[in-house]
Amino acid sequence: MKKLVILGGGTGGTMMANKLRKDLDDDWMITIIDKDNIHYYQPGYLFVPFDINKPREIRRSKREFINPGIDFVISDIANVDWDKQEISTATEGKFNYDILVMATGCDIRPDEVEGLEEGWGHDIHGYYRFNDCQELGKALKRFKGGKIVVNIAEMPIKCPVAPLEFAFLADWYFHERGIREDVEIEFVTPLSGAFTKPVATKVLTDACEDKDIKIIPNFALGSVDHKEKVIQAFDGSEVNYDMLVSIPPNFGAQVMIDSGIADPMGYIPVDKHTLQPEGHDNVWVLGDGTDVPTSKAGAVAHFQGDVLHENILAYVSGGEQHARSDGHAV
Amino acid sequence: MSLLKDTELNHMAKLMFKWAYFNLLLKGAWLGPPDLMMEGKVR
Repeated sequence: MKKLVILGGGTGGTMMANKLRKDLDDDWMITIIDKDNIHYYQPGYLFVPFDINKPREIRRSKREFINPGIDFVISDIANVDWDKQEISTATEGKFNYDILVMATGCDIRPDEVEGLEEGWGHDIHGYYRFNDCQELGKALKRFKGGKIVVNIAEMPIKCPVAPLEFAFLADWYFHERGIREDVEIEFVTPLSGAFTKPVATKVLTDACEDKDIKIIPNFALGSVDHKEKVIQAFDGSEVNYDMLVSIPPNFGAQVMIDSGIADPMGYIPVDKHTLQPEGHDNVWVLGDGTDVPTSKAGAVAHFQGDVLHENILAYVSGGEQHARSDGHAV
Repeated sequence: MSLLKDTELNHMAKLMFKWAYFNLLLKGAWLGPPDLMMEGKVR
């Protein structure tokens, strides 16, 4: 029995398992390893604070979406050894593989910014986690006026347009409540403008102007003083707030750093077209956990998945691998 | 039609995407040839 192991049962891992199960013979065992059985629809995090999505609508069971013929193991991953072709788990032993697909994603790390984690919950909120988006919703309901600062700590982040979407939704929300004139919304970003690409930046900057959302660019967050309600950049500039909606630094899984296969931010270095790490022709990585210079978004993982699907089947049959990823998201 | 504009259509598409995500994307459904998605883009 040959073994294909997939690390991560989120968007990328589930999609790859289901695609490959359809096309691989029964002499291939496919196993997904993930730390829990909860699948979050992450795009919905943005809508929960505004009651556009209910929490129960964006939280499902991972097993529900894993097709028959795929084993699902629930355990933390303790170590990834590409040379031994072996995965060590915290509670379910070791798994050898013939092919490894890695889709472990990334997560926010508020502890990486001085003062941010200790201030979390004290007029500092976020929406990149299930519990956080609900707490933010409660905080928005309590907010009666003042300055809301939406701040991206640093790039890369998951879903790079989401912070702007949040600001636009906040504009709409406070209009609906009839208190928009009492609320300032500032968008504070390390980028040189509203977004990363010139065409989108122009459109989105105009939209911010129309909605009276002030953009403060080139702000590299250094620290947060939650008692004084001030965020401070490395160059000494400061922005005060009444509520801070923070998008903290995004890091890849710590276990990848501990296993010695990731960069200091936990992202796994891969060829940006083949999505393989150098020197390991039976390992593929997709989704938010790579160091590929493209958006971290489900749409990107989808198109990367098409490339992996084609190339893995070619690898299995001994053929040439022609598919190449170009990083597009739409 | 712009994907960037603040329109009802874009908002509804975003909400409907949840259905497509759970019922098509996660199940590994084929969503069309990759080249289709490069329509209009300059390489």
